Amino acid sequence: MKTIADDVCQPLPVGVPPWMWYWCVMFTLNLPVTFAAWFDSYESLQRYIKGIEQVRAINPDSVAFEFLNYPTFFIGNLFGLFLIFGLFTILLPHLRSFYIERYYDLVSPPETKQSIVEIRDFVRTHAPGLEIKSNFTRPGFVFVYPSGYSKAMIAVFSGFRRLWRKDREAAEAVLLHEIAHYRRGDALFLGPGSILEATIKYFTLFILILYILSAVVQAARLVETFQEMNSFRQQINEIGKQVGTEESPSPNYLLEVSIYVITIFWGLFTTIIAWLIRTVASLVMPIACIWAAEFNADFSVSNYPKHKAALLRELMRPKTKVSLYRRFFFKLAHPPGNLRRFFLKHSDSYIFSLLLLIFPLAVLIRIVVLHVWVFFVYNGIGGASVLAGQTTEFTWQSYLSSLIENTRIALTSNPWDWLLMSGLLLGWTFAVRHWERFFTGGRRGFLPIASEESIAPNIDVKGSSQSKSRFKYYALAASLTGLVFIIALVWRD
Amino acid sequence: MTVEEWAVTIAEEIAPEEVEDAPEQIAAFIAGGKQRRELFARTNAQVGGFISGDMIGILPIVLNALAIAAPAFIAIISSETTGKFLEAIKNALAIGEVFSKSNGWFSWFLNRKDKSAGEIFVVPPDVYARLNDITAKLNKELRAFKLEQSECDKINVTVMNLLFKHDREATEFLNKLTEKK
Repeated sequence: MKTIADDVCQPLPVGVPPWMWYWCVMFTLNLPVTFAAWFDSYESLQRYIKGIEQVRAINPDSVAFEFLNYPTFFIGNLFGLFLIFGLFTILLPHLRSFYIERYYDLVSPPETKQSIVEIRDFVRTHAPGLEIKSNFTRPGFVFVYPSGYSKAMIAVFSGFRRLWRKDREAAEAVLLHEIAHYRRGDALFLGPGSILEATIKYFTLFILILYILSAVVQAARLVETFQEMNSFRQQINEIGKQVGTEESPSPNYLLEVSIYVITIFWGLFTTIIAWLIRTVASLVMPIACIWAAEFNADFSVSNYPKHKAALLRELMRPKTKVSLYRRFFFKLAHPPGNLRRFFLKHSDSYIFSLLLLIFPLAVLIRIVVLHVWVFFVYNGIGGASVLAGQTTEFTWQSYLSSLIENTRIALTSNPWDWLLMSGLLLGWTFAVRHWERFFTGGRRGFLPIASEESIAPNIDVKGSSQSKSRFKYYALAASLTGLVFIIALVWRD
Repeated sequence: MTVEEWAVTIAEEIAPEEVEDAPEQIAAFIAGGKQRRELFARTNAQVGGFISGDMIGILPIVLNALAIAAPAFIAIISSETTGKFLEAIKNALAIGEVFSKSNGWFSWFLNRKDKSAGEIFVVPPDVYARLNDITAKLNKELRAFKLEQSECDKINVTVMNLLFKHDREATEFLNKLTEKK
């Protein structure tokens, strides 16, 4: 086995382009549009408040608790707001490092322990400059966190040291996965990822409570109004009896109230469903980016047959049972195990092109989800359409024509995005070494594909030949994205 | 034996891959409070890093079960009336008969014949109740962390063997485990 110089580390396969960074740049460039949407929401709120004031001027008791509806005007912008906040954390990696080390009580591990020396040596071989911090009284595995713009730390917990003792190859495969995150600059996205998770965790609940409170208040006020009307009708009937006129038929108040209350809660239900679909649409792109980074990190072991087998083994290992709620949040940060195994198994087939296309595909999936939302909100389903102010009658013909038109607008509004994606797919095989060099503080080891074998001929790695043979997959993915670009250009005119 | 030696010995028997962590983990457990709670911290997606699910080690789970069952253990170890019975347990555990019958080993043990005397071994009722109590407590705590019953049985036998074998030092160790929460 060749000894590797300290400043040279083993090459990783080229892998998936850094879609997370691509999306981050696009999101930032799109900020003026985001701000305009916020301003629109603010104006809608102002109009709502003005309307409420007018109603109150006529009948002061007719409106109450209207402030419960205020936040709902900004629900569509919520994720954008928190993502902007999250992106700021990329600029402050030192602060992030300080927070993480305090939160998890991470310290530099004693070099006297054999496993620590072994882990450190392995890390240095593949990522010189990546330092270890640990907490062996806390359950958990490993993760990489930023400690500077081109510096990172690897946090090691007791669960990982157990794996290191029990199944060395699987543990090394897991380390290679984490090292790939560091070398591709994913570590800097830890902050936005945590903020996104917290936003979903806490604000989803907050918004649901708001919706439910608002509906309960509406229902309570409706019941109160019906009671008043009932008492008024009884008084009229009493007067009628006294003057000898015919008694007006007594309506079934309970039935009427029930119908209105059910209508309110049906409206609430459909509004929540519509909001959830809108939320899914907002999350499609960030999740696709996170998943792409995870698939790429898995892919980093594909040149090492033993580690690939070990990683597949580790992904198949039965996990302790956790609640659906916790599993949901894990799936936000990591793709399902079956999918990971599928892509890792087929890393040397045309299925790899599909993995490369994860981001462009997510753009299309987002359009589909938005169609579902449009169908739900604007085509006459329950309270959601009432909330949106939609009153026209639903027909399949009008829906299909709006679907085609909406697809055209979504695809053609910025066709150059597709060209950029295509360019990134094609150029990534050449740009990857410069990219890695930037995120690892300019270290060597991120070598031109052709020279990998000449630098490390005896290392158990099939990097160069496999990377070359994989070029066709990049070409295929770039061609497909380019095709969408051409369709968008033609359709626009 | 020091508490560190106890932790290492238990880890060697039930989870050899945790031996290196044992001194730090026993120190955290004995310290109590936040440090003890951290041993049982839930694994979030970030710390999990790679796989979902909790990753609590076996050793903290066993220490927790021992801390719960400690008063019952201490009572049986320090009771003079159970001295003879304790000797019998120690002998049985030492010759490893119990290990071949991990499932339902306890009832098997209590009903077994004393081979040397050729008589049915008579268990004093109070001792039987106490041992039964310890087994139930350990089982309950271990099962709470979703360990398989066969694994619980193995741990049960192992810790009983260790504690009864070193009964004089065991009291001090168990007292340390229960000092703080």
